[in-house]
This record gives sequence, structure tokens and C-alpha cells, in this order.
Amino acid sequence: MREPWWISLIKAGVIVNLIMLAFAYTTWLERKLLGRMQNRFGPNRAGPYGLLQPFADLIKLVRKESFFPVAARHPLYIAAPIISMFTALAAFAVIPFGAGWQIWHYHVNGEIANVSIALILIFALGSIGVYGAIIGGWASQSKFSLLGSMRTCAQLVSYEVSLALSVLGVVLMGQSLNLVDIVNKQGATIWFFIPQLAGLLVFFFAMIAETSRPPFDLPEADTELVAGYHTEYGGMRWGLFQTAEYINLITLSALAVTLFFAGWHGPYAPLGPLWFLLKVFIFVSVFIWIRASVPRLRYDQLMRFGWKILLPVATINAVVTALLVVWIS
Amino acid sequence: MLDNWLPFLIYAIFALIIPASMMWFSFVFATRAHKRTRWRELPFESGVSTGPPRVQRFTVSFYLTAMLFIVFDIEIVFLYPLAVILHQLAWFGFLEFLFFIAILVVAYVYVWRKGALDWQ
Amino acid sequence: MIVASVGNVLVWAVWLGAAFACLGSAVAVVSFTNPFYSALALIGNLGSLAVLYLLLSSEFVAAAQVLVYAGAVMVMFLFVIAYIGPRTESPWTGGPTWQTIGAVLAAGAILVEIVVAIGLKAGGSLSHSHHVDGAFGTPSYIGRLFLTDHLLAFEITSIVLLVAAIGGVILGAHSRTTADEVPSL
Repeated sequence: MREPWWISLIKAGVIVNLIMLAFAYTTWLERKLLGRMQNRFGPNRAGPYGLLQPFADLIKLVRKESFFPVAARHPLYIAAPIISMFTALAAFAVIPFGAGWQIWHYHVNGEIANVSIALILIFALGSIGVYGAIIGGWASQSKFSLLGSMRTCAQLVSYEVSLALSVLGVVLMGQSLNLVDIVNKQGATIWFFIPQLAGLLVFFFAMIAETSRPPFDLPEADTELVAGYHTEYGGMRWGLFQTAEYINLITLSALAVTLFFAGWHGPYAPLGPLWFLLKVFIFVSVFIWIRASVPRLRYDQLMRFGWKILLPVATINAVVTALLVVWIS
Repeated sequence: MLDNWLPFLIYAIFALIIPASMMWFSFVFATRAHKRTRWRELPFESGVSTGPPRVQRFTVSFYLTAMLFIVFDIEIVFLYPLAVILHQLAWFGFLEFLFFIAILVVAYVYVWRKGALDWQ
Repeated sequence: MIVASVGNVLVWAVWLGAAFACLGSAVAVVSFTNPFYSALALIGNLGSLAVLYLLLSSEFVAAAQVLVYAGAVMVMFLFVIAYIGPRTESPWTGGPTWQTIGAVLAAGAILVEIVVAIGLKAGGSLSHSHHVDGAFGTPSYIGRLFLTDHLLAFEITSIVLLVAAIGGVILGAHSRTTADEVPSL
């Protein structure tokens, strides 16, 4: 269904700001939940329940002194955080969050862009996002940054294989790479987390590694690497990397919800976006919970887990699903 | 087909403007340093450092990982369009699918046996 | 196509931008002396090629281009550059060598081949828009081609990937044994 270009414009503006807001309150939620899980309060000074904390952080980061490491390659040093965050934000464009609405006599789609290659587009943008880390680490010209960026990159590419293979089962069942089709298929038949439980598990672990969150936060293993590829970044430039990471978390959670939990489908259809939001919220909370509970892996353990466990499981899952799909049809 | 991409283009422009403006803020609103010191701008090092790192080499494991990534990434790109229409092609399609994966399993087993999946 | 002339202007603008980005980054690839910058320019080149594919209605090819070339092969390039270490000396010094002459000849041959191929294939008309329907370039269209017209090529690809994996491991294992003799990071 086609919508006029100005509706797309308004929708894009609204969604992009909502994502930024969601990011701001994900950081708040994370600190609050982590605090509670560790028997402390978390942020509680800025505003009621510390609700203004993200804005205080923003002001603080923006006010930080602007500096460059001595040997930094300036244009690249500036470009790297922008690349990271652009790819993180852009990936959300293809995720459906509602059924689409008829407002007056205009049709408004429940997603920003309805394209036939949506799923590959997300992975493609993710693989471009890796360059943010590589370029950032290299442009800082520091030992820790460089080592951190190599590690980040090796980790991200290793788990991208498992991430992409784990959804092959969903593609086989949904018979499309278009996320709108996949969601509709789930609404019509069954939520795919039931037949694709193995796929979901692989996707889940790969997703933690892709967003480099604990226990797979080797890129930021501060005991070995100081801070990884963004060691030499400060203020809002560091903030951009951090933002990209959280937006990746939100987007991949939304992707998991879309692929395995039928996206916006729920008991009462007009509430679609709310169901979507609720499911994403649960996913994000689980990630925060895992962060509070599990210690970090060693680098060789991380690599072994990705290549020797997740990859074979994802492949077997794909073959079995293919067999079943062909058998039934 | 292209009109499906117009909303993506519009959204992508937003997605570019936001980080670019945040980067711009980091220059505009930044506090000026009272005194420029060289120490602040040296790369992080726990103690002695006088500048950027010298040429250093990384372990070959990085290279191996990237190589294997390419192989499996291409595999996935080939499998996706297949997966979309596998239900139409029935058993013939499944056999082709299986054959494709079987050859890559051979590659995988070889790589595993050679120890290339172990990080060193 | 996007309706109305505004849409056509937009398509033209995107096409011009991508085409010039493509040429500019290609020139940049060969003119940078630092291999890291060259590799980055090559990524830009591959990305703008993907935009051109997209404008030709080949959605899947565009995405695969970004995912495989810009996303995977270039990561490999950057790893190799980091592995060898940044070289400061210019990769090409002095006058034309046999390598330069060979490269120019090969590039000329490819150009002639492309012109001939397009000329034969197009048969006088450059527009094939009547061949392109809504399903063209979508994953299911490509998947059907894989399993019907291009079945042999598809299966041979898996063998090529097998060879690539074996080659990569052998090269890596070789430098692993030599690296053991020299202490490194």
C-alpha cells in the first residue's frame, strides 16, 4: 500500500525521535534495574525516580572538552562514531510495528519501508556498522584502541554468521525475507518461537554478542583493554558509540520480536504498537538481567562458542526446518 | 519497486542527520580547556608513552576468522533466496539445498580438524 | 517508478550521486598511498555500486553486494592490512613496469568485452524496462533462477567455497608455524 511522501517524512521524523527516546530510557532502565539487582537504588537524583537522568547525561557529555589524540586521523576519527550510529538507526527502517492505519483518507503503513529484502538489509547494515569500530580504533592511533577494534571486529563477524543462519528457519517457514510478510504469516498461523526454538536460542546468544553486551562484552573488557576501540574517545563522541550500541540492542530485540514473536500481533489488534513495545521491553529487560547475572567469557571461549556450538546448531536447525517445510507442503 | 525505497531514503537522511548533529554539538558546546596540555592528548598507556604505537602485527587468527566469515557469509546469501521458495520446489529443491550444505559441512569439518576454529 | 516528475528527478539525482561517488572512490582507491585509506575508498565504491544495482531494480543483488563485498571481503582486506602493518612507502614508484602495462591492457580488454557484451545483448535498444515486472530482482525470483536456469553454477559455488575455506586454512596454518619462530604480540 503506497502512502504519500509527506506521510513518510512525518513518520520517519517521529520514529527516529521515538527511537532516541527509547534509547535514553533504556540506559535509565538498565541503571535502575542493575542497581536494584545489586541492592542499591540506581539513579534517583535527577527528577522523580531519576527520570531526568538521561537528559542530565546528555548535557554533561555535550559539555565535555573536545580533544583529539595526538596522532589521530581527524576526518576518520570524527566519521567513525557517525557511521556506527547511522547504521544502528537505519536498520530499524524495515521493522513493522503495526498493522497500518486508515487516517482520514490516507493510508499509513505500519512500517517505514516495506522492501522485499528487509532481513538482508538489516544484516548488511550491521556488517557496515562494524567499520565504525574498525575505523574508530585505527584512527585513534593507540595500541589499546587498535587491539580493541580488531577484537570487536573478529567477534562481530563470527557471530554474524550464526545470527544470519539462525533465522534461516524463520525464512523457510515465513517464505519471505520481507518482515511484513513474516509477521503476517505468524499472525495467520503460529508464532515462530514454538517451531523455531533452537533458532531463537542461537539468535538470542548471537544477538548478545553482536551488541557486545555482557557476558560477551569482550570489546570492552576493561580489565584487559581499558575500553576497547573507543579508548581514545570522550564526551559526545564516545556517547555516539554508546548510543549506537544501545540502539543496536533495541533494533535487534525488535527484530527478534518480529521474527519469533509475531511482532505487533496480540489479543486486541488496534493495540498493535503497544504489544510490539511491550515485547521489545521484555526482551531488553532480559538482556539487562543477563548482564547482572553472568560473568564475562574469555576470548577463546567466546570464539569457540560461536563457531563450534552456535554455527552447527543453526545449520542443523535450518536443515531440519527445510525437511519439515518440504514434507508438509 | 523503487517507490518502496523512498521512505527508506527519507528515514536514512534522518538517521544521518541525528548523529551528525550530535557530533556537531560536541564541538559547539564543548567546554574550552583552561590550559592546553599535551599529556591530555597522548594515547592511553599505563605509564610511559610518547606517541602513537609503533608498527605491530596481529595474530593470524584474525585473518583466519575473516576468511571463514567470508565463506559462510556467501553461503548464507546463497541460501536465503533458496529458502524463500523452497516450499514451491519440494523435494528437488530440498535435495539441492542438502547438497549445497553437505559440501559446506565438508569444509566446516576440515576447518575444525585443522584447528582453525581454535583461537590462539 | 515513483509517480510524477519529482520522483524521476529524485531517481536521476540519486543515480548521478551514486555514479559520481563510484568513479570518485575508484580513483581514490588507486591514488591513496596508505592502503588503509584505499581499502576504505573501495568500501565506498562497493556501496555506491550497490545503489546503482538498486536503481536497476536488483534489490537482492544490491543487498548481497553490501553484505558480501562491503561487509565481509573488505573486513578481510582491513585485517590483512593490519596484519602486514601500515606501510608508509608508496606502492607504486618509478615508471611503468610490465605489471602496469599488463594492468592497463587487462582493463582495456574488460572494457571492450563489456561494450561488446552490452551491444550484443541489447540488440539495438538500451532500455529493457518491458522485461522487468514487480517480481524482478526479489529474493524469490533469484531463488527460482538458482534452482532452474543456473543450477550448475549454484552447486559449483559451494565447491568454490570449499576450496576457499581449505586455501584460507592452509595459508593461515603456514604463517602460524612461521610466526611461532618469531615472537610477536
